[in-house]
Amino acid sequence: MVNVTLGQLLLGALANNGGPTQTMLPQAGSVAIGNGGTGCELVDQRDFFRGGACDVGAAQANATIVDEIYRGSFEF
Amino acid sequence: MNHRSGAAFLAAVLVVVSKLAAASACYVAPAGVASGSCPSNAPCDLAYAIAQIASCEGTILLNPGTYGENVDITQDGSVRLIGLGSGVILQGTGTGMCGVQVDSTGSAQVWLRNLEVLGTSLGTTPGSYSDICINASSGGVSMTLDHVVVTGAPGAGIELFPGTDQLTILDSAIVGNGTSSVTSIGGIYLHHGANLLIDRSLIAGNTNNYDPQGGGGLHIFNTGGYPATITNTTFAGNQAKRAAAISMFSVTLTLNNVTLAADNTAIDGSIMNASSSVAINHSIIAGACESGSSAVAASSAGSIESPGDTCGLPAAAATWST
Repeated sequence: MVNVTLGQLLLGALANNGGPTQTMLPQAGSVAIGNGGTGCELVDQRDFFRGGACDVGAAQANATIVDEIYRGSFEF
Repeated sequence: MNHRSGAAFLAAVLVVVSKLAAASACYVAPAGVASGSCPSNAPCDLAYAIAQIASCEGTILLNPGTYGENVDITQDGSVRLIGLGSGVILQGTGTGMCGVQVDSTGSAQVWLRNLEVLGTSLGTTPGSYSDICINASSGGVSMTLDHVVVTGAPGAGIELFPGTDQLTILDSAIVGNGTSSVTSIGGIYLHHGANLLIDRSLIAGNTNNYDPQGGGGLHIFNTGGYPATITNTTFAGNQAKRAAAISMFSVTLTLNNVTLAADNTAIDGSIMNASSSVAINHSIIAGACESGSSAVAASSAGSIESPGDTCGLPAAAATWST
């Protein structure tokens, strides 16, 4: 998608949305939601599972939080 | 950086600490001593432990607090600096070197985890104005940053000279670097290139006022033929004379699920060398591409450019319904 207006993009401000670093989550109605196509990264910047339709960008609006204990046991 | 909270991360740290402790890792503290074998109940100072790294099994565990000494790694082999809990800050003065500097002459694998590198005590002279530098004389150095915050440097957050094979940045924040009004060079500045992987990280609020080719968040002058891959990472609020987020020379760059967001964000791909190429996949470019369509790989898909059409995103992505 090109020539997308900021009003269509609707990116949230850089903020703490979970995970180790701040992100810019697409807000409700954003064209980024669900339009990432196939081949996206399985998790997003926060290390949350993207789940179904992938959002464009680093942060997934409707991601699934990974069980931290479960993930931690496989981290090392 | 809002550190991953909760019991899981602490449990994971404890697991790795217990394993490393069993292997005679060295413990350090800001008020540690410059003698002994650095057990947990008699921690050493950081400079002493680094000098004794071979007897530490390559691992130094840092108790919380602020360490005011420079970290100068001259040894080959593995060097792991791991913060224990929150509030582990490396705040070197940069006298004659960067806050954390790798000067190994052979192969070295440096791993920084769970700590902050703070550059507010550094000067503004090139060679000593950056938080982290790798200045290896013969190559073979790799560095991994894992849950690390790099901030406050007058020059660059991370500066790589020739001799670096691999730079990996995971779950980390490179923020607020390039604070000097004269000699700032942004968040990450690669003089020669390196195999670069950035994943699940934030590159924000960095400034490059010095280099006319720009690159406030990331500048790669690549003469080594190294590729760069960036995934699940946000660039926001970086500033430069051009190419606020990323500026590159002769780089094959892949962006997967990346958000580039700033009023003047741009990608400088082919202005300096047409052999640079960028694959933009599932990514948001909130800004503009100075390079034009020649630098974007035909395989790029599922991406958004806002507000214009300067990145040359292919038709398959450009025709998606809004």
